[in-house]
Amino acid sequence: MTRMTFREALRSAMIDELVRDNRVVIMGQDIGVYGGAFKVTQGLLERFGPDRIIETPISENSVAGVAVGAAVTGLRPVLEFMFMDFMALAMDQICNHGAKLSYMYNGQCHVPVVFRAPYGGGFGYGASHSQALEAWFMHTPGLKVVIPSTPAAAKGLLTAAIRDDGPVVFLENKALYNLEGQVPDEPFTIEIGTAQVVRAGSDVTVAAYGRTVWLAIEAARRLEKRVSMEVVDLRTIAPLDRQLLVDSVGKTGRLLTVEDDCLTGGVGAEVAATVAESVTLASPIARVGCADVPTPCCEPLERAALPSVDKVIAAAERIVESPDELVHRDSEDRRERDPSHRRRVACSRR
Amino acid sequence: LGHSKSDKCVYRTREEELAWLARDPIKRCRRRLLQDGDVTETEIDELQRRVQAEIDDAAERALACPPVLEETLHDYVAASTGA
Repeated sequence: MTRMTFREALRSAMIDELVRDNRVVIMGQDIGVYGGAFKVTQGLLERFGPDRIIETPISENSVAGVAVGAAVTGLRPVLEFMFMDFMALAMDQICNHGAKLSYMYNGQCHVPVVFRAPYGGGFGYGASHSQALEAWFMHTPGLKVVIPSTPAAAKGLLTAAIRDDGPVVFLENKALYNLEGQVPDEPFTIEIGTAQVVRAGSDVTVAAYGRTVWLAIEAARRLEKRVSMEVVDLRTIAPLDRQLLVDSVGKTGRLLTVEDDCLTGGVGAEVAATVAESVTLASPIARVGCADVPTPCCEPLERAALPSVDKVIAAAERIVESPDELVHRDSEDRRERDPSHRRRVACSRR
Repeated sequence: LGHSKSDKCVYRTREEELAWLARDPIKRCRRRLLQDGDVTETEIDELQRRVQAEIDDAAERALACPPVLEETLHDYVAASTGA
């Protein structure tokens, strides 16, 4: 194990796969000499040369087409978008071609391509450099959508994405690039489509991914004396690990989703629907996500729009405070603050 | 110069940069106006002064603005449909 940043873990996965498989190529704008806008590919050009580390023009749809075509004809490209927002320029190649070719040709071809992109706000980058657009891709059959939350997951999931025979959209929250953690030295994979319980609990399941896993963990820590929160790191939003979600909420009876994308038609909505279809809930579902606005550049507005630890705590309290109150939550300070507490506990005693 | 403050401009030489600087379109426009247009040096200087004053004024007013209210988060996301 080595302690490294999220950024270094991504690079390490790419280096391992470049060494292991000569069909792997890295493509993108300024990924060579410049080392990438977020320095993820720094040093790769010097080590692997311009045939494997390919600088591309600012022409996202054309370049995505080159990557899809190269994937169909035998290479395994990893294409970096400078910002996720710019994937909008390449939607035709990603969604109308890459996602469907294998299906349209009845499995006669495969499209082993990875579309990597930084996403998310919080830096005052404004409405066209801050978006979390994962729901667009989650809604497109044929694409896998992977979003790691830790350096180890970044390595294991990117390795799995590169080895996957289909197109994978691989999303990296900008706030995580400098996050440090222990990462296995050897190449390893985390199975795409598997979520993970990162903190066990009994009162409410919090489903999160990427940066929002850390909001959920911090909220769980602050609330631990009063509410026992089970944090699920989705890791992959397509395919979604529906079984793990259903099992977890089956146990806790409550669901809170935390996402960086806009709430309407977002990841949390799909998680909520999945759970509501199979679990009888003890209280209404709550969702915390980005307000339905273009990400503001202005700092106070951006803060107001994005999910935060405080918003997760407020939402968790709201659903756990519902009339179906759990019996075991009876801390003294709460009784003092809330005169209706005894009555609620009495009502919910079964 | 460059794409951002952190851009070391490794993709072009200093000579190339200087060659383009010598063709600064704003300076060329001034020369062209003096040469071919019906304007005097004084008029251009006055225009420049007015533009600078407008910019300074805008910056000053922006800094003096009260903090943005959270209630305005959703303003102009969609066109108003009227009352």
